[in-house]
Amino acid sequence: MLIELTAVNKYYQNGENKFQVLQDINLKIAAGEFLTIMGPSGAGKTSLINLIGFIDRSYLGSYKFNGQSYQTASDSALAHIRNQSVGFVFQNFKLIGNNTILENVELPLLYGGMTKKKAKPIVEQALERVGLPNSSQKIPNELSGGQQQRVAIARALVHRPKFIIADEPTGALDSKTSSEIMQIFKELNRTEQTTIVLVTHDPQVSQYGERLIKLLDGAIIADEEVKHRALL
Amino acid sequence: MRFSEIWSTALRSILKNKRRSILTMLGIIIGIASVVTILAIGDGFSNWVTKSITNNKAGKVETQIVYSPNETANSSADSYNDRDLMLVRQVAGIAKVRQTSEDSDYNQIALPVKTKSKNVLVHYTSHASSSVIAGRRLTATDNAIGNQVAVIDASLAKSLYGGAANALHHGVPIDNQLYEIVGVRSAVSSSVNFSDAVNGTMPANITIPKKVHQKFTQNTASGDLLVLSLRKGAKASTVNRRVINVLKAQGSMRNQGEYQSADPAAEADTFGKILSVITYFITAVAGISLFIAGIGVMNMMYISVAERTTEIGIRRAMGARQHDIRLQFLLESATLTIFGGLIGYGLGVLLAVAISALPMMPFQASFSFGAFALAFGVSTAVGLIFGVMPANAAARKDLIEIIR
Ligand SMILES: Nc1ncnc2c1ncn2[C@@H]1O[C@H](COP(=O)(O)OP(=O)(O)OP(=O)(O)O)[C@@H](O)[C@H]1O
Ligand SMILES: [Mg+2]
Repeated sequence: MLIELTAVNKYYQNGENKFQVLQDINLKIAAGEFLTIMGPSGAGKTSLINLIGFIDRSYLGSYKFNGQSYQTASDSALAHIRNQSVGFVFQNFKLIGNNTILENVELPLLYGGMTKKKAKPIVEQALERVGLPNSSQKIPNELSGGQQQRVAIARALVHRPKFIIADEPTGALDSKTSSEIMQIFKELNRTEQTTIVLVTHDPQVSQYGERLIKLLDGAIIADEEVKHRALL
Repeated sequence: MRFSEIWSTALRSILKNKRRSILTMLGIIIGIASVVTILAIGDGFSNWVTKSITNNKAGKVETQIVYSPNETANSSADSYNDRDLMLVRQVAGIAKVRQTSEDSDYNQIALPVKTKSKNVLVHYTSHASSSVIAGRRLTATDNAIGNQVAVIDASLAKSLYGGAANALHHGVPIDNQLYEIVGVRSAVSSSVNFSDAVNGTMPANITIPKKVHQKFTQNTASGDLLVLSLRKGAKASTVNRRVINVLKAQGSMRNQGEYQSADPAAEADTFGKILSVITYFITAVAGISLFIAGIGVMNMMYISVAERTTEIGIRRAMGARQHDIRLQFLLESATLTIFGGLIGYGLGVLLAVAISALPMMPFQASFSFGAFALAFGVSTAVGLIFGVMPANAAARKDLIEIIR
């Protein structure tokens, strides 16, 4: 099993009172799955995927990635596993504003120890893949929101991670652009069996995945297969 | 990430913020430039001093002490006696002491003429004297065998003995010794004799053999000049000061005259003193400038870290370790200050060249690798020291907080 959460609980300490964000989460995600997480605001979706993406490790319970726990790993080890296994796509793109597209997309490769020279053709390839050829020397501000999110996706897939975490990747985009972006995810999952964990508020978007989890007040209240997958 | 990639990331980040980077560098530039300038001038100066001092014969460093009697003093007394010489020899830093007169072939003496005293010019010669109007000339033989004889001029002969002929074979007292007058030359008060001028000798009232005169004056070792040979490493001004202090306290003639140092490097010494004061001053100013510049760098880096929180978060999510982030910001501040240091070095060189081109400067500025290394080292150190705290702050940022 790629990802295996068993009895995971997470609390935020707010002064005197403890606030529980995740309640007894049991979740298994196999390699190659396309999982969508839905839930109202404040349900704990972001908290959950940060935990899965090795960004947060202050939780109770067990999280095993490929059968191994990283809860007590060092900062360096955690950085390494993030670099090797996870691709992140954020709602607000999170591109480095004064860096070129090339400099943004090459980051996972460089932190993986590659030289700029070696990274460049791989980056170009990834950009082509998300439909942005010949834009590596532009800066993010010269691109539209949809294009910026494509760049972010290119950055998330450029180093061929085990899984991609996308936190509301279409939250800031119109519905047409959204479906284009979702198409890229879909393609990626289908052609390369990249595992995708995607958070969304949009029921339309959830149709692209094959499995849907509903979160409420930090607890999983539904875990079902998506029946009528869109645009297939 | 590879070190080279982290460094190029840091470099690009500096170049992307040119104006701020330049403003931050300004303090470093000024500080380093002033240090480099003063070092180049100081080096140039000490090269010049070393050259000019060791220029005397045999490359030894020599200084001089001059004794000059007061007007009221008894001028015939010796400037230094044996005890003086012994005292001076014991002063630290002195290798050898030599007493010389100013080694003149002429001397002005007071000659008793009848009831008055008359100032006359005496010439000591080891050669033949110029032509005479009565009697004979002095010859080289007179000098060689030590004949106690003299040639005087006609006017002196007249005032002493009433005429040239009368004066012959009489005596004339010089330095308490009686010399036999063997010849009388034309009066010297009249215009300069042509043949004297050709011989390079000045017409004197009295001419006597040099060797004879020396025989009487040698053991009294007359001479106002002490030539001090210094030991290696001894400083001319210090030694001179010590010697003068000794002589002022115990010198035989301390009440009759004054001892002064005639240090050939004295000018250099004064200049050196001024220069070292300026050096201290500029170094202090540069130090303060560098410190303030360092604080400026730190401030700039803290602002940069705060502004780039998202960037840090993104990098961390992409797999940057805390170490990578720390190194990135540290290299950024160090690169900034090294740039500043190099620009400052260039500016300092230009400034030093410009200053040594001034007409009042007797020497050229000198540029050593040491000064370059110092500029490089100091600017690197400033960047690292003042960059550590902001870099640590950047590395310690909580990923969960900044990625939301
Ligand atoms: N660092 C924190 N300290 C305290 N409380 C927090 C912290 N981060 C999140 N929370 C709280 O935990 C709860 C879950 O937050 P989370 O961001 O996981 O929700 P979400 O499901 O992603 O919501 P949204 O759809 O609005 O993004 C919220 O009530 C939030 O206020
Ligand atoms: Mg969220």
